[in-house]
Amino acid sequence: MSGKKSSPVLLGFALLGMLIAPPLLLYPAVIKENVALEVIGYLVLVISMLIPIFKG
Amino acid sequence: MQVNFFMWICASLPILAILILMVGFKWSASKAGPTGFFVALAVAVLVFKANFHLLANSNAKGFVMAFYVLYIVWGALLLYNVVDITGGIESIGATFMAMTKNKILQLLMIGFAFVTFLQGVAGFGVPVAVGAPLLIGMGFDPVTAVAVALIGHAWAVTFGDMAASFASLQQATGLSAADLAPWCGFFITLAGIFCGMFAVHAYGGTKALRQGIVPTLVVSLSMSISLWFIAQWEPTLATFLSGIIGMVVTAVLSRVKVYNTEAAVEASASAGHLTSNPVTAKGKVVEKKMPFNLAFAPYYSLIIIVLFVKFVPGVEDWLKNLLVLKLKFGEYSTGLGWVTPAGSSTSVGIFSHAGAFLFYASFIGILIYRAKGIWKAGMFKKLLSKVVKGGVNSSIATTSMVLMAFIMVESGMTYMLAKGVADALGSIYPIFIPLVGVLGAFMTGSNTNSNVMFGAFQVQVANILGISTLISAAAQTAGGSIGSMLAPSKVIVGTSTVGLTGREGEVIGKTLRYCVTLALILGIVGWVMLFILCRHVY
Repeated sequence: MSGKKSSPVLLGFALLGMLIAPPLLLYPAVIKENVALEVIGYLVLVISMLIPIFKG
Repeated sequence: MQVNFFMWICASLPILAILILMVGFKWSASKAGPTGFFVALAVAVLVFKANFHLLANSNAKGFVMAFYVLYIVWGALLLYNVVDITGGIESIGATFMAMTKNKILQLLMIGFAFVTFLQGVAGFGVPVAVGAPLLIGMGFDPVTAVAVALIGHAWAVTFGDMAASFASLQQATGLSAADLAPWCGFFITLAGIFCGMFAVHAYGGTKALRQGIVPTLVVSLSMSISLWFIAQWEPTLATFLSGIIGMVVTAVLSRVKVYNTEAAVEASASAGHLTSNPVTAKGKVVEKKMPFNLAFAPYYSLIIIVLFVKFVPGVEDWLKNLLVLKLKFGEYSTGLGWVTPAGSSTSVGIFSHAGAFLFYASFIGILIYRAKGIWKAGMFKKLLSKVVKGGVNSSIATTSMVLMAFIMVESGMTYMLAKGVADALGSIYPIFIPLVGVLGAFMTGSNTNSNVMFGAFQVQVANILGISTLISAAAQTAGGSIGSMLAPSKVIVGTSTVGLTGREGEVIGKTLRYCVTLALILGIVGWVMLFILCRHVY
């Protein structure tokens, strides 16, 4: 994995996803009991966390 | 919740994963952090029976804390690069380099005071990357130069980078800044006195230390004690102002005749390790591109902004209420009955936060440089590129580890870890608190991340043992701070800057004994405070 080239733009988006998903998707989803929003929130968070592992 | 060995092992898996990936597989913190997050998520759901609503809430709380820390980190990065891009940092370094030929004073000036100042404003290994080449340029041996820069800045990391690590400790433990600051200041002060002496010792052993003991003690005591006081007034400025005080004190000492006689200069040069050719050793021949006061203008602005906000009545309250980030949560619990009571996240005043002050100072700095014709066309684009490149990886590491830490706390994993350690070691454990902090910094390359990973853990152990949470948390961050001198990520920054790539082991070999010695000293002092001198502190 360490041999792969890191992509600054992709990492920037990953960071944005990590910072956006919890307050703007997961938190309102719990407050409004909106399962669909919660699923989207987890998807965004998981993808954002996976990017640095594979492209970092 | 009952403690058993299987659950204790499971609770330690996220931290173990990060440790193994970073140390064993040489992964960066920005890759290991997200992996630790996934491990924490899996363990929380499968073993600790946390549901997804609970995890959503803990991620939202974690976000507020990550935002609190990253706001400072990005602001500090912006301010540092505004000054650096115009040649200001080089000019500040050159001003101090020209003051004396006495090697021990030069070492104290650049390898202790100047790197502390740089830690105060930047962090991210900048003190090592800037300080080590300057030391080599002054004739110091490269391995010694990197080791000295690492030792010289490490003590002040907690309140460095505009106190980002202190903020993370405060957020991770839930303890107030006002209560924490005096205790953190105490341990950091103690570390500072030793780091000053260790930096000189790393240069020339006991011979250099004997020769330079008076200026070393004068500089380290003035820096450390001032940091203690400033930390209680305004933590964000503690390391920054302490570094400035150190530079001023060393500048005054460099005017004292006894240190500038031919014999004193020669003796200081023969006391330690010097290189014959600083240029081939990748030293930096620095150039003074602008007057000192102009180079320093953005930092003067920062001091004025902080004083203005703190002392002009009504300004701080007005800024605090302009725009606030704060989330509210109801009570929730895991399937095993671990309850997180209802409450609010920490409150972040968008315009009154330390990060905001750094942004204000950066813009004022740009305006000043522009008015003086130093800020050229195209510099803004270069600035943004440097800030983004410098901040993204560390922000990913911090964010993922903060989210991981919150999952661990709110699913009961941190409690499980703490209970196991408290039951096994009992009252002996506090001796090892700073070493746990060192371990965190070694693994993650950051005092901030060390506090995020272990801050809540240390407080939980303290609660279980019935000892002071404040002193335990302070000992944790002091360990995390001095652990910076060992952190491979920082060592690599130093070695790669001065052309010593591949010789990291030599540098770590030099800093290891100082770090472990100091961690044990801090641990023993902490134990004496917890069980004898300050038993009634909560």
